[in-house]
Amino acid sequence: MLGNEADAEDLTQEVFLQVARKLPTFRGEAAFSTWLYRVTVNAALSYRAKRATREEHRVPEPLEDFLENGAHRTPVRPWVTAPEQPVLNHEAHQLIEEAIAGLPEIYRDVFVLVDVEGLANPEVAQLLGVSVSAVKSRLHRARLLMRKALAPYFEERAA
Amino acid sequence: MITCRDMIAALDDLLSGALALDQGERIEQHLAGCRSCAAYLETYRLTIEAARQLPVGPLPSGLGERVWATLKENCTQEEQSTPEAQR
Repeated sequence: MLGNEADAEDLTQEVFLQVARKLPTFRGEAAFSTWLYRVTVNAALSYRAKRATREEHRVPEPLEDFLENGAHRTPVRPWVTAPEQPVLNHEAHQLIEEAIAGLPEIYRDVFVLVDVEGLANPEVAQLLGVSVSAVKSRLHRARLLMRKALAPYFEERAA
Repeated sequence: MITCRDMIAALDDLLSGALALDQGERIEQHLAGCRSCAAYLETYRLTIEAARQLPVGPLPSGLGERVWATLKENCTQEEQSTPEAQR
């Protein structure tokens, strides 16, 4: 969610401190993991809001590669080598991590929480304080952007 | 008629089985005749699959020790600032 390892480490320290302080206030009304996600996501959003280097808020339009009649501008090529194949592990993982880090924040949050962490849309909506339909639409756009970022690499291997 | 743009906009609902029956049929018809959309659907699915299989990477070297040191340092400071400690 923060886009780089150094900030993620700072945040990890903050979250551990917060958890140590707030643990007595945890009343067991929700699962511990849910509470921990809430503490972590809140800390991440707050950390990011304070971060001096703000990301530009221009959000790219992932559905731009179409002709006026709604057809693909250029043919879409299949990926012969799939990104989840074990043979590609290290290189592919690094590429995917970089693509995630390159997503605009509002898309990165939902992509990380839903597709990487495996949380359900309503849970993520609650964590981020947005509607379920906002999560759904951001997630779809995040996936389109991710696909676009990964395509040159996996198409190239297929060629 | 479904265009490629409509098709891509509906991918999420298609994969989650949330499309209305008639809409699903129109999408299937489009997919059967459009190789680009068929490739797009498959690569979109692979993108999701790849994210789901991202391993939890190893923690940066020494992170555990640094977190522990920060916790200890803060606990010590808090103990020293309690009224009991100041007496």
